[in-house]
Amino acid sequence: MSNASLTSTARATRAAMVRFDTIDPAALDVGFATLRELGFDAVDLPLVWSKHEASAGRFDFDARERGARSIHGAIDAARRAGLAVRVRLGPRCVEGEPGFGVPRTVIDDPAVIARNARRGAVIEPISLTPTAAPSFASRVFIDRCAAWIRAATRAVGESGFDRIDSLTVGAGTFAPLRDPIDEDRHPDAGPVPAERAERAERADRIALAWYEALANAALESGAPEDKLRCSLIGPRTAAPAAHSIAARFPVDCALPFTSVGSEALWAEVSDAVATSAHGARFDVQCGSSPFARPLRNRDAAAVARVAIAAGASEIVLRYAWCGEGWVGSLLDPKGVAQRVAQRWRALFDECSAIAPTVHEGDATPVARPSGWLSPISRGWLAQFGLLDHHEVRGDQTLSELELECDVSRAVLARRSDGQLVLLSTTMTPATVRDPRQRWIPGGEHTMQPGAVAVFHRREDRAS
Amino acid sequence: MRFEGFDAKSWHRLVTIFAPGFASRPPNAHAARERAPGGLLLLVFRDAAVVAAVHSHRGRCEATAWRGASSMQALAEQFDARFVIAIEEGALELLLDRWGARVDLDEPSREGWLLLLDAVREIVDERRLFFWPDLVPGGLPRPTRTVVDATADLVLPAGRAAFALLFRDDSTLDAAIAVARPVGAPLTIIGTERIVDAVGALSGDARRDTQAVRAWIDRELASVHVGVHTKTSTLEALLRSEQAGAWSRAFNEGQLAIDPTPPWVVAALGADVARSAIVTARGMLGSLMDRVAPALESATRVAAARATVSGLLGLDLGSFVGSVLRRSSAPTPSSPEDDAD
Repeated sequence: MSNASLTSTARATRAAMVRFDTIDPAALDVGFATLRELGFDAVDLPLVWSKHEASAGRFDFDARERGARSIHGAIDAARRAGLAVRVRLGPRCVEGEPGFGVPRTVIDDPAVIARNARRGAVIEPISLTPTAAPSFASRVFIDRCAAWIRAATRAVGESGFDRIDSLTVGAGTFAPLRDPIDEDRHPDAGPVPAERAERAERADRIALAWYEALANAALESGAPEDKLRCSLIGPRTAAPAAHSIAARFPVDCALPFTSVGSEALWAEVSDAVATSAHGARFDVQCGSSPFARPLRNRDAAAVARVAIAAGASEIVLRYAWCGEGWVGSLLDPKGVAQRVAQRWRALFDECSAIAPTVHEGDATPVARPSGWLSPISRGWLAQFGLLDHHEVRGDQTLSELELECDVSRAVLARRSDGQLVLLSTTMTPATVRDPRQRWIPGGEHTMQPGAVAVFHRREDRAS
Repeated sequence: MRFEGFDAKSWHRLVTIFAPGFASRPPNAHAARERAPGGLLLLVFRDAAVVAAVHSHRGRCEATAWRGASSMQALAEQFDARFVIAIEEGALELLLDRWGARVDLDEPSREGWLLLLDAVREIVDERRLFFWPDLVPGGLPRPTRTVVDATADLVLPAGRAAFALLFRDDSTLDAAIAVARPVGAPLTIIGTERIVDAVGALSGDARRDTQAVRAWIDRELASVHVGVHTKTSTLEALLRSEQAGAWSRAFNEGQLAIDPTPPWVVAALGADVARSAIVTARGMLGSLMDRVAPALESATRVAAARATVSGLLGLDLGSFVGSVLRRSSAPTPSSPEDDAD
């Protein structure tokens, strides 16, 4: 890959997710000022559905008895602090909320629950509570989600769409973005095809239909098209459906876990930079849910550093400020910076010192410390293994690529400059270093600029 | 369950004492992790073939043949793994299907988890799922909801609180946790940062700091039912110790302070002393003791069962945790310089 892949790079926007519904509104001014002082230039405000739907179809955006807080108050406070505002509507936009943050009246509806092969409920443990997962094929679920998005969009619109930077819909580590092995047996999903490729297409169709319903609901309710985004909680390479969604909408993605290593992180971000016309926006986890594997702040900051260095246009620090139910917030409930916040201030200070110039047209490896990367020491880059980056040449035949694609899931994309780019797997290099896992073209693909093609494993085609 | 007042560093510290394999690692440690010994080997088999083999440190492995549970130790040695889990292809889906078909979402969540245990046991009994080493003895009755509730009431009755303070070797506070079980409200788990904020500057004297924390919990949360303070290094050594009587010796020598000391702790320490005495006597009396020891051990277990958690659950949790930790990664020491993590 060449430095041309960095042409979309500018100074990354740093947004802090604020769970304003768990914070005393009186502390917002202090907290937002602290975030500004730490180097953040935007806040990301999630609206949790279950806190706003009083009964089926009846929404209340100031329902304090269910723990809701006014989105308007949060937007006003952010603007006063000089912070840009992004709003997340979900349906699932935060972790740790009972029932995925979806109201019980929806999640408990038998017509909504995803079904397994025995027609039992698909169960997922959410904060140690077994919870029925919704089916994304369920027409009832799609309708209820769309109704929520319409109501939430209108509520945000009352503050003025000109006062917000973006409105994000969608998301879920659950069904839409999984491997096709996790079959949804809900009747609305239709019969499960025998062929694996057809099953992948079915999963793709279900996910796309759900995202389109959400996006259309937001647009119908007045959301400006240029401010609408879709959120994938999971990397772009998580499933073929992720690519279909990314091809249709501007997307926000989550970075993989720190354990995948610097090289995989770098590849993930730089591939997104190279192939996205809308910028590469990434969620970075800050701390962890008490029910998830713990994450130290210094490791989270190392991930953010790789993302910024690789050209991410925006990073969102998830749960940078959270009242309770989260381990590792940067601010305490009163809005005062915790000791760990200094680590992020230092990172942002370092990045701010980098001139936002763009280094174009050089075919040397992307990790060469030049242009805006030059203040980052070569030694630091070498430490992270970034001087040995995989490159897919534009003049390779597919057969040559087949030999080279030593990854478990690969997607090939053509960049606007005509060069082919391999969107590599997010699995660990050790996991994918298996000669049996070659990938080959899985059908007819027209490689138009911006198009993506999914490669299937050899054994799949053989079967 | 509500969590308050943990920062990422202190939560990470607490979790990794009991589960060192969950330690957070920076992205640049990826290659070092690949070279680290130990780890978990996960096998998916179909008939006599291994369909997939993945090592938690080194990714995909080249295991090809499945020769049953008896081959798991050899596989562990071949791939340098300390734990092996082998599951038949499709068994995981079967497990989740059975669980999903049985769970009543209107029941309390602990019932759901007990049903999952049932489904796991069935899969194990059907020889679709194997663990190596086999740390949980077979034939144990699955605890019922009543047993789980009774255990919870024994360990921490409603309306009471518990705390644990861990100090570094220089007596500075390493990690703290307080658990309050209010009547009719969710369990509240409070972490180091909230405790330190509430108590104020600590003196660096472990006993005095413990008294200050206990007084705050008594005053602000609930009456303390059990409180523990010790050095982190002592706790880590005790958790990994195979020596009978190690816990009671640490308690008697003041390395492990438990105050207040509820009956179940006294019974557990008493059983530990008895086990230690039996081991010592066996060494002194030789074959004569071999004939008496089983009866004594049985009597000790019966006495302990009346008042201990292990007795209620039918499983020696301390022994189980110790077995796992002795096979896990070494503990990671912390220092005050880590405070900005």
